[in-house]
Amino acid sequence: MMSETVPKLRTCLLAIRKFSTAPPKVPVESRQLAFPPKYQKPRQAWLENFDTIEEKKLGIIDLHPEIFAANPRIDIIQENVRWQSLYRYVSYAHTKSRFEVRGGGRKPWPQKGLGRARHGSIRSPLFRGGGVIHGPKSPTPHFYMLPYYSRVHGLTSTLSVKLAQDDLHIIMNLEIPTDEPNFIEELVRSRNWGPSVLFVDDVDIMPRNITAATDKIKHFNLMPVYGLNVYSMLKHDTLVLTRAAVDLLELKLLTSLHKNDVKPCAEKFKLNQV
Amino acid sequence: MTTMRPLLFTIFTKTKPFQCLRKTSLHQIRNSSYESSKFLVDVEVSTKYEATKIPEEWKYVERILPPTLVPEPQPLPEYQSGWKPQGDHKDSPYFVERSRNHMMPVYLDVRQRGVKRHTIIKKIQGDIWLFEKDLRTFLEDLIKPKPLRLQVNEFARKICINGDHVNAIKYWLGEKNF
Repeated sequence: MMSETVPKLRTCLLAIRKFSTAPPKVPVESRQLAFPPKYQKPRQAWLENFDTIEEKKLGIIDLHPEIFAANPRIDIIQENVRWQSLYRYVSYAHTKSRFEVRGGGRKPWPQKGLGRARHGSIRSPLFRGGGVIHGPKSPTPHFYMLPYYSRVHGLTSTLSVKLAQDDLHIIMNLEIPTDEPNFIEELVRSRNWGPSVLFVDDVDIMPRNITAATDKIKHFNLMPVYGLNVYSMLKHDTLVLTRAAVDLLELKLLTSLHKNDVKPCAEKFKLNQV
Repeated sequence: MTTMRPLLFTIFTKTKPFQCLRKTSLHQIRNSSYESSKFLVDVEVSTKYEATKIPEEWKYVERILPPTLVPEPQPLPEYQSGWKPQGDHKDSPYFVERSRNHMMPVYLDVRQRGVKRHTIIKKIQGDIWLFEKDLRTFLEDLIKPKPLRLQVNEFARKICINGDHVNAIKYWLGEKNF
């Protein structure tokens, strides 16, 4: 019964569509995904314009579920944030031991006969103004390297979280008609992109207008794909990726997830210098 | 470098019609790496060599280079090693993804110097609780009359089972074409 009516309905609908006054359907961007997903369906996102203040949907693009619909591991995200804040932190807290504090070489009073406790130095840790036992020494670096795949999964988790929370937008390119900051401020306000926005492009040489417009606004930041990191994604309310940035980001993350030889990146961190 | 790399790049270049619109006279330079820095002196190569740009010859060079990405397995009627490729599970309620090297993600975890043995199944997608139910019926028959100790980690998408059941679970997954 159903098998007969469904094709009939479909042809009927197609015939009616010709007379419809509704705007034509949004074209779906054909985007062939590398490493086609075996189970998960591709995530879809709107492709928006960036040259006018009012939002125009230019189409829907498919996103790879391995990158944009990964398991949101908040523990891995936390590891990444901790690593990013610690690897560049150097503690300058410093204390002096009993041998570094000035003086204290002479025995303060004789060992016996005075009825006082025996002491060998006035800089002993028992004394006021004496040295500190096991105190902090400067400089103490807190550098460590997070395992390679923790870093990769941190990025995929954060991107998935951002997309799931509707905080990720994809635009054609970063070309705007004017270098006035008002334009970009009004655009962000009208599209409800939140106070802070991170714009990501594929290369680090960006169009002149966007760089001039966002130069003075401290909560609008520009970043190339190679600089994208977990901390910045979480710090900004909205992540705006260009179409080219999405392609490059997917290429980079998928190649690291499907790498043949993982030994060089899994081994102990070595500084890239002689 | 072999078949996958050019394929991947062609796919991505096909999907990038907007990049060619970019008119940049400047080039992106990253000086963060040691390799990107210039030599202090001109390094002379004493070995005589001949540079060629014929693609026919480059084909033989590519053949020697190791693959950078894990290639997709070629479909064969029968595999000598007993390894089987994963079947199609698009409409299944749950799915166990293969590892990067197309192996089943079932691992043995030996703790306390061999005193404790745990089997861990990773990369479970979809309904993990339904998967646990099906696995439980299989394993309970297997280890009768002992009680089955099994822990589902829904957050990390893992299942941990007390005891060494790696081969049994791999066989069971193979039967279900995972």
